[in-house]
Amino acid sequence: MHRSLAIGRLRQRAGGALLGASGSTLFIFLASFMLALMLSACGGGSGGGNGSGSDGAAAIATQTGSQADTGTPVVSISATPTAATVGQVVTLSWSVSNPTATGCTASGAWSGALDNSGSRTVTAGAAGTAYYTVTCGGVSKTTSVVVSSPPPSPTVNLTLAPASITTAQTSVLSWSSANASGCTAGGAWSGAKATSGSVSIASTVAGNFVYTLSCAGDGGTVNASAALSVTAPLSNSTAIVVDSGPTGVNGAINIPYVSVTVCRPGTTTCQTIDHVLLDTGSYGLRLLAPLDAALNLPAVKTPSGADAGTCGKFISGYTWGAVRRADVKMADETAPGISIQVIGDSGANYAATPSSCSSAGNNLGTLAALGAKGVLGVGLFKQDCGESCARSAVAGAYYACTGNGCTASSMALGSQVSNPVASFAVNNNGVLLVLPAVGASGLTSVSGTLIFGVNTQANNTIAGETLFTTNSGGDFSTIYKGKTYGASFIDSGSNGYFFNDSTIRTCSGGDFYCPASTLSLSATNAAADGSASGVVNFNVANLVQLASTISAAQVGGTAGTGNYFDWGLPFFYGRRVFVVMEGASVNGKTGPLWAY
Amino acid sequence: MRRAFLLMLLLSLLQGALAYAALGSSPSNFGATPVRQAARSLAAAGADSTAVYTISQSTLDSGTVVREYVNNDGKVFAVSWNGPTLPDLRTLLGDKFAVLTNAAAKRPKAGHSQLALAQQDVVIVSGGHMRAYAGHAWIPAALPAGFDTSVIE
Repeated sequence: MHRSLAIGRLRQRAGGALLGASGSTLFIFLASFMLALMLSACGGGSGGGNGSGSDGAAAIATQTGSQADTGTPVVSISATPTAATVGQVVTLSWSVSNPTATGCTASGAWSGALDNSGSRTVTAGAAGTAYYTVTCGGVSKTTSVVVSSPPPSPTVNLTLAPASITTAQTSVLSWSSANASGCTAGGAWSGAKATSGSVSIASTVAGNFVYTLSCAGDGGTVNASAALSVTAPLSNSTAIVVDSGPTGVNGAINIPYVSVTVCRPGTTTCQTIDHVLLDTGSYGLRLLAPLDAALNLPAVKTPSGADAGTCGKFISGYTWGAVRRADVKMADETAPGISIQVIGDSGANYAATPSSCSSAGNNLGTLAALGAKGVLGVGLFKQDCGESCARSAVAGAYYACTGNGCTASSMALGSQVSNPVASFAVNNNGVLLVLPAVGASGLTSVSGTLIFGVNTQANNTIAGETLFTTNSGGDFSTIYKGKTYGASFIDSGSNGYFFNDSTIRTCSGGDFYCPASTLSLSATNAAADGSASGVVNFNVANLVQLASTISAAQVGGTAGTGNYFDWGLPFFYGRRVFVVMEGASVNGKTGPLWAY
Repeated sequence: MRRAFLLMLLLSLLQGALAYAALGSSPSNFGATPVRQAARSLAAAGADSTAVYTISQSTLDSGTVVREYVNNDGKVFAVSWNGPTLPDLRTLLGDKFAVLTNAAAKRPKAGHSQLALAQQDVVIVSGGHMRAYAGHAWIPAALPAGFDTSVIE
């Protein structure tokens, strides 16, 4: 390439000299021109040029031979520019002195009949040397254009990973280019950029942002763009309130409430229900009927195809009702199409409460008895019953309900009333309850936070808390005053500390403790696998001496001769308490476990 | 289908047979279910008593263990339960079931509590949570002489 280019230049100079030469010096120039042509041929210049070079030599020879004849045409041709890139337009200009009547013809890299003078534009073809010859009356003249390949076009690649983030997240904007000497940013960023690189992108405001990059090189300029979607962060937390309860509840004490949204599966027909009891001692959502008629939640069937009824059993009583399917939503989390219980469902097939359900004690199927509009069970397990109900028709759990009444039925795991958290797309391995401290005199209301997931977000990471594994039933051990209670548990649904201490006075006619003054007590909890233990200091105030407006208090009651210590809601005050569900692993331990 | 129906029918009959005796009554219908039942006789450790009582134990489908303590007169004087489901307390407690249901009415405020009642006629302790229930009850007047209630499992 370099070689033929040099020769081309040489020939160009020779040609120019020839046109301007006078007769006496002409032969000297001709001799040098011939030499140049021979060098070109010997040098093996580009293939297309050799033949044309011969033509050029022939034309010059012809012209030289005709020098003595006046009236012989004198042909000249020039190209502008004489060096071009592939595809570039070149202007050829030619003229003839002493033209003949036969006119002129083009040959070589162009063709056709030509006027005696003129100019024409041609497009540079393949890389190499293009020879343009004009022949007039047997006299030829050739000019050449060196055609080189154009510089390669630059390319650029601009990517955002991920292309969609929240205001709490970052994305990485990466770019790379080829055949570019420099890049310039535009759109959502600016300034000169290297030809490749990456930057971390974060935005505190939601919106769509377009990042552009323009990279230039010898071969031109190229642009690329990438779009970033920034949304407000998805919330994995919802408010807890401990207050006097919804209208219809007579003075709640230590009942944590949350709001829950239920939707007809797959639709936007939803209802948000406030004052649902947040219960770490049960599993699954149970809501008091009636729900909005528009919801029309579909009935869940038993294996026999009957409408499924279910009985929720609590120490304080039972909830009887239908199993229905709903999308359960809290914060930005959704449990799609899970089984919930509709307590007191008006469906005809559920009209009669089976005696094996009511045998649990009190009917909790009213607002006054339940103290809430429903129960949200977010404890250690995924289903309210589990494998035993999937295997057999466990008495008092699930029922096949028809017009003839309800009979005990098995229930597939996936159809059982289930902990919504387990069905969330993310943050589905447990929950964290955060409640502020409550002193001995109690508070009229407190506000806290229910956070979904454990160690899945910055706001639910176990920090200094200790992990307490439980047995398969969800219990660990508590040592109180030298006695070990092997079936102890943590239960936000219990409205006090329940433990056995016959030295503490009970309230008149009741099972709550009414000490003369607030007691400062302590007990030691021990993980079921023996891996951890820790002292818990707690206070027990006199329930009946609290102001009537108090809804959150450090109160307790007797467990009688029960083999348990129930760490009820007062335990949660001033703590972060993690529920890690069965099968979930955190910090090297597998649930069910508690961390606090 | 027919086979499945028959199987279900059989299971439900078996379940019906798994009833237990009420506190304070004789365990007459209890002996019909030998498969999941075990009985043992123990002597109460009384100072001047040779009273013997029997523990009948049955395991429900769910895995919950129910024990009945039967005195020399053939009366159930104590019951206990422990396991993932709550047994039929109406049947188990007999006429003392009403004591259980009346307890909530005595509480001054709404909320869910564990249950521990110690009345002259009956002691009832019921505790735990979903998938882990435990409790026991006894009739003080019907205890064999020298019977220590702390041995109730």
